[in-house]
Amino acid sequence: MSEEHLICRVATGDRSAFADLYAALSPAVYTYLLRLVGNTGTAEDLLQEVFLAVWQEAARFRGASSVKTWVFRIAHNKAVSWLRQQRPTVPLSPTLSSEHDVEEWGMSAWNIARLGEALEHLPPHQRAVIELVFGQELSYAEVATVLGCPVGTVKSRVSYALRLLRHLLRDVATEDQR
Amino acid sequence: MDITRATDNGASPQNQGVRALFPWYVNGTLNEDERAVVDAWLARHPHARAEVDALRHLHRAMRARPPHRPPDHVWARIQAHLPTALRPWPRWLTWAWSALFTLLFALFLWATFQPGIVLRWYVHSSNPTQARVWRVSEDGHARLLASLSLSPDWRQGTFVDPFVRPGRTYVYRVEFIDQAGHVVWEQTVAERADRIWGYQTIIVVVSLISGWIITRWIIIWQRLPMWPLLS
Repeated sequence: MSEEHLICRVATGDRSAFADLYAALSPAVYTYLLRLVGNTGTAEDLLQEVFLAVWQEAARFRGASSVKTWVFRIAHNKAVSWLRQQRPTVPLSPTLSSEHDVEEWGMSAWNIARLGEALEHLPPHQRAVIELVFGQELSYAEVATVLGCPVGTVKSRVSYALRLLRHLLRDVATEDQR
Repeated sequence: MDITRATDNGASPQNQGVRALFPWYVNGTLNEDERAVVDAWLARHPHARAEVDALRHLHRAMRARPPHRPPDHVWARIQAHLPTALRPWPRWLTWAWSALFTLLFALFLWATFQPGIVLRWYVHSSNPTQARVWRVSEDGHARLLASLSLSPDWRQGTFVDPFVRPGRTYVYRVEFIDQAGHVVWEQTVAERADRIWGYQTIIVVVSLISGWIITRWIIIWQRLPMWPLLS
């Protein structure tokens, strides 16, 4: 059964459809939340809030985007609200150099452990776009819907986030060599 | 997107636009036209393939990361909160309630302040059983506005005509009828609707503002996280 059909049934108070929707979307949403906020307790609380909001707001889903995009938008907003309440704990801001230093991507750096470490050092809003594009495979229009910003902003954010990630990966690789 | 200029070094705004599509070229969400544009551009700029390859590596690495499954107790917690999780009203119902409130509030204010031409009379003699209020137009044609039954001990009365235009003069005739159906007394009075417009405007505006406030209140109330309080 499609997610659109499930959300229609959820809007009528169908709990089995809600369970199916949760089963279909919760792993992706939870993974996204966990990678955004960085700790399991908060991710679980936010996931609970997200799906209670889905239950409550299902009747207002108009189908302007996919159900997955709509749920991710709720999740993103809740995560951002939570992050805003936290003190900034991630020191960041490496100096960026030229835009297209392709060779600096360093193919050997692409392993999962290093990637995870580098992603953790990205600011949340940069991490969000990388996760949405490469982790969740959303289109630029869907990312724009989730983030609530224009497509142009999405593209520039992704571009900037990639440059930042590239530098972080290089730093991680340098530390590994020591 | 203009990709016909193949002579540049890849840094033109057009090429920046194509490069900006690389992440979605890699994650497979571009439409056919966009994909064809990127393919054609890459054919003319082979040096950029390394960038796309790097993004493919990133994509593969991101997808290779194991997804996290939420613990079962999260679903149990959600289920436990569902019965008390308030389902908000449909938007049309919110507006319907607000419209009804606005209308009722306007009627209340209208009935309380009566922003129309007010006719008051006292009866000192005879014993009328009925009062008829007529509005007489300029051509002499009379239209019955109200026919009021009067109790035996009735001595005074009021009638409000709210359907008047500001600035115009209206002529009213009030007839008092006895039990036999005879007119025992009548009086004609002309009244100008001067200050009506202001009162009517105030009532409408106050009603609309109240309706808007009640709408906002309903919307905010629905968004309050009430389930922890109710559980």
